[in-house]
Amino acid sequence: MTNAQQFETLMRNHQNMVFSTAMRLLANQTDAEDVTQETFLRAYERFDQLRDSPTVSGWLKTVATNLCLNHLSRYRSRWSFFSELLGNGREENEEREVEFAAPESVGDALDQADRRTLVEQALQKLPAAQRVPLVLFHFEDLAYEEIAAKLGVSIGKVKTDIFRGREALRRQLRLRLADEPVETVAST
Amino acid sequence: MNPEYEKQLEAAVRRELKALGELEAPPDIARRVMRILEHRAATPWYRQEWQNWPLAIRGVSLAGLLAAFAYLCIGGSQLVHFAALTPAARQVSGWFSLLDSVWNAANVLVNALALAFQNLGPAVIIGSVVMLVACYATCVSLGTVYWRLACMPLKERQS
Repeated sequence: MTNAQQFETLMRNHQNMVFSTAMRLLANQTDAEDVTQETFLRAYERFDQLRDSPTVSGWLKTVATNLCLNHLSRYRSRWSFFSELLGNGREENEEREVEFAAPESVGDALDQADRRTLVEQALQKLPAAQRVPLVLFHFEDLAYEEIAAKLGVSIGKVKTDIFRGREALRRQLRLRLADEPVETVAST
Repeated sequence: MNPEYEKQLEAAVRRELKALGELEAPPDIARRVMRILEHRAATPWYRQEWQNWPLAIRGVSLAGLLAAFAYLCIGGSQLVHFAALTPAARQVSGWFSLLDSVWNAANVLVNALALAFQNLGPAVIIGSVVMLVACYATCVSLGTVYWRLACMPLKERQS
């Protein structure tokens, strides 16, 4: 097997994982594809070290995450002027935009695949300020402190954003909590 | 925030997200990466980006650039000591005399404005400041409106 073939095999084995990471952080197909491509181009430069490394998966995930955060911070700085002017009103606005009419029978009638699609959609429609820390917490298993350091914000803000993100998901997906009566859920 | 509620919420969201699994990458992504790598391999090193040059050549080129920079700095500082260059230096400073007169004119203008402000009443000054702030706020509001319109999805704009 040639070097190129080995690398292609590595790519095919990990492309879904890298793409999922990028897609969930960026919520944009084109940007996620670009980040996936760039991640593998960087992997090729270190292929000699990565070839037999047991941590190749973690390395790819870290590189993809960092590329996504760089991409988001570039985008954020481009629009920061207007974002700051809009302040909280914008966040509320974004939150309102993501609310879509979930079918009445969510959770019961939908099969697993539909349910996953619905969750993915709800996640992707969250504002970046809530989605990114939420994804880093639940998918990358980072602690609040690590997320705060990565995003350059306070731990309090990370906790608030994650809470708001979860709340938005709960509303959109009509999640039922452990001790919540069914009637309450139906009425929300 | 109720800690018990937060715990339950976290557990419920975790359950949903953990059940997601991986998204499927576009099938041609590996092919695209391989095509870029093949293109890079076919391009001679000197036509590639500097980061992709061979390590030794990168080191040599960096050292060469640093040496050239140091030579220019030292050489430039030594040039003023050459007597033969004095007329040339005078000629060069002559070219910049135009900038000097522009600077003088700007100075006079600023001084005149400062004098005018000192002689104007506080009401006029406050009025001018308020007008400037109002102009700035108008520009910002218009910019915000345009930005919102530009970012609003097409469907919402049509409705």
